[in-house]
Amino acid sequence: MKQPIRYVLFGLLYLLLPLALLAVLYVVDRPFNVSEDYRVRATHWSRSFSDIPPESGWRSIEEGYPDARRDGEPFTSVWYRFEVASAMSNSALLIAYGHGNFDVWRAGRRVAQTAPATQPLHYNRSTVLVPLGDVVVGENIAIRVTRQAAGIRAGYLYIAPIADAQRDAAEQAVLQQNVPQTILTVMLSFAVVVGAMFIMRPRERYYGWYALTLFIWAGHTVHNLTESIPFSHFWFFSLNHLLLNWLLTELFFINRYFAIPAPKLEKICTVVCLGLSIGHIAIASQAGTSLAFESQFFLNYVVLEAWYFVLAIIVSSRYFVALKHQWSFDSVSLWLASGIVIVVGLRDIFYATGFVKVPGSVFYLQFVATIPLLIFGVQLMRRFARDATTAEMRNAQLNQLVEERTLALETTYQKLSDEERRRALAEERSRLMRDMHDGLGGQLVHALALSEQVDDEDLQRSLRLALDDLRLIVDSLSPSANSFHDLMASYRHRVSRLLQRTGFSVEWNISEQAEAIALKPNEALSVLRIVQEAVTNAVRHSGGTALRIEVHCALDRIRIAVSDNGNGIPDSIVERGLRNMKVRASELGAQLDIQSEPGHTTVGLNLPMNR
Amino acid sequence: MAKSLEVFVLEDDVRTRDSLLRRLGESRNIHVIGEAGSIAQARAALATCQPDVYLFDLQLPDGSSIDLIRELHRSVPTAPVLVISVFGDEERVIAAIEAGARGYLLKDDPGEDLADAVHRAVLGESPISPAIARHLIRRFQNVGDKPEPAVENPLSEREQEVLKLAAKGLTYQETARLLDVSVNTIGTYTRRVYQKLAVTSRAQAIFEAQQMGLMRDD
Repeated sequence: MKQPIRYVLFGLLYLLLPLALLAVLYVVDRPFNVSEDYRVRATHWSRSFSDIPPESGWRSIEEGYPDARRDGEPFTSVWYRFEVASAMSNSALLIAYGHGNFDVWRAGRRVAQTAPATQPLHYNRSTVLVPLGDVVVGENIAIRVTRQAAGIRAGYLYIAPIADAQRDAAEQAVLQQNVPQTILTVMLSFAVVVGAMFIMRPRERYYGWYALTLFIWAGHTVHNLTESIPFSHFWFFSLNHLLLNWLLTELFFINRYFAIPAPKLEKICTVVCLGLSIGHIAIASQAGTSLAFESQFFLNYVVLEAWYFVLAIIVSSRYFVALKHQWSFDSVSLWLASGIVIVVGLRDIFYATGFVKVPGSVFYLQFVATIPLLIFGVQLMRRFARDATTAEMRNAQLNQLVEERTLALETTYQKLSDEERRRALAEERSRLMRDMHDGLGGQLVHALALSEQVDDEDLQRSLRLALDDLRLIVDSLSPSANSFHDLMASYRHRVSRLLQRTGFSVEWNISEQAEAIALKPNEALSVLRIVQEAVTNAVRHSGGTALRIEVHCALDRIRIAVSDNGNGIPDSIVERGLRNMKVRASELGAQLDIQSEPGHTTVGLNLPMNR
Repeated sequence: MAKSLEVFVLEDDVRTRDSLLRRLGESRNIHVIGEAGSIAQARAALATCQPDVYLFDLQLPDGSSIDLIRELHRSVPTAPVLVISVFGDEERVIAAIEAGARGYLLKDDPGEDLADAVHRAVLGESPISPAIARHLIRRFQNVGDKPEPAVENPLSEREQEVLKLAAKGLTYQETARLLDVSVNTIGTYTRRVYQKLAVTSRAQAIFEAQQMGLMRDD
């Protein structure tokens, strides 16, 4: 939709919606069934705390209405009386918009009492129905009105046919009592729910402001409905209407809910409310509780209601700002609802002041003002639920992330500690190697040099063997010789020269696959020792001329075989010399097999892999 | 051979040195013209004589002889330094080769092997063990792999083949047979590889030093 069209449409809706609502309200709030023709008027009044109609002190209404409560009196009690002007059978007395507790006396007898005179009022505006039966012309009827608060009136009095009066009483009871009570209950439950949300999410201030708004609104409504508040009515009125103004807190709420801060505006409104409240209280205390009804009217209806109206416009303007800020279901629905409040509020001002005659029998704002608040309530609950879901999802994501990270961390830690261990092992190994080089190796060479001087062949051979053995150990430990292939290469390099001297022809056949085989240093040493022993045996004892050293790799094992073309191994050697090899082989978990026959002898070592 | 070779021996263990001298002395055309038991002594002695072959033990009471090898190599790049080692494939032998040593000999080699090594060193051949070959292969592969500095693998194909076979533990004779060249050629290849290693390691050191800002560009 194009922007201007949208604005025009919503502008129309802004006015049409409240007008439609007013129309609906007017239909519901039907005019009295009781005709204005039945209206009767009190002719005299008397301020008296007497429980029976007083004998004296009556004054004519034409001289003016009685004052409000006087200082020192716990409540106000005023007697009104009139004479029936026209006879009627099966009639009833209807007191509409009654403010107070009522006693109705007829022919010196009490015929009705809504509540004892001193008991606080439960419902401020109530319609009282007193069945009278047949009335005759000139009959005297006295009505006592008691009330704690100011503004004591007998209300509108009718003597009408009982059926009409009853219907009016019932309809007025719904409008004046049942509906406000229901709304009050709903609003209070919203206030409690959102208040609980605020406790759960105290950082989201708007929950708190909303709950406060509803609580103040509820207090306001309770005040309107009852007189059962145990402290001074006037003071409470001032506070309630001005300082604890639910429109003021609603302003705070909206600014936070839509994130449209206006601290200056908030400050000004608070100061005005505070000033008016203090002023109101000051005037009230100066005038005492006997503030003239006219002064009360000016203060309560002209000044306060006007400020109320200004505040309502300010709040509504915030809806406009919110709408400008974000065009969402939230802002649009609330903006439309604000239109309802403005138009209906205007109607209520007319109704209360009488500047413009408007139909209807009650204030409508008490019903209508709840609409935006209820919309807000629903939206807040939705927002809370959405936030909770989001939070849950985030939580789940975070949990998963934490788990993943923990796992990764553990893996890294494991790797690190493995690496640490490997490095420590490598360091230890190279330290050992250094020691062997510098210490043991040097010492052996030194000893060899010494042995040359004494010319001891056996000693020299033994030392050379020791040196060879040391080289074997160094090879097996060498970090650079990490594959079996490398190990065999070192061995080959070293023994080749020695074997050449012995005159043996040597054939090496080492599978390339041996490169993929890694042996632990102790295993490597054992394998090399077995091979070395087999080679030494062949060279020393076989009497042959050719030697073959082979390494074959299968998937699950390697086979190392040393063969010669000598005379075979004598049994005695098999017994003795091979025992060491067998022990080493079994320690490795390997098998040693020996085939010995003249011309061909093989010593084979079968080493299973993946052990 | 007409001219006898003049050899200098640096070895701190007196018995071992005597044994070496005795075994070298078995060869008629090798003549030991100087000996030392510490690096300080060696420096002093080398100031006055110029041998054909240097035999250096690595670990000496007053330090490692690697610095001495580096100095010698810098002043006389062709100086044939052989390291005397118990094992012949230790890290320090490789470090010595990087510093410019031409090869190594084993302390317990018989006299004829020692003499052979000395002769070959003079002729420009170098002995090699599988461990050293493996190290060299890795070293040069790394050089080729590195994007910075962009250096081609400096070894020729033949040199690489020699290294691969040496890493498998083949002797010079076997390698020579396989590649159908003379044994001397294999030794020469090896020496060239050693020289390239020395050059590479120095270039590498200079490059790294520049990277770290330790050297001024003057």
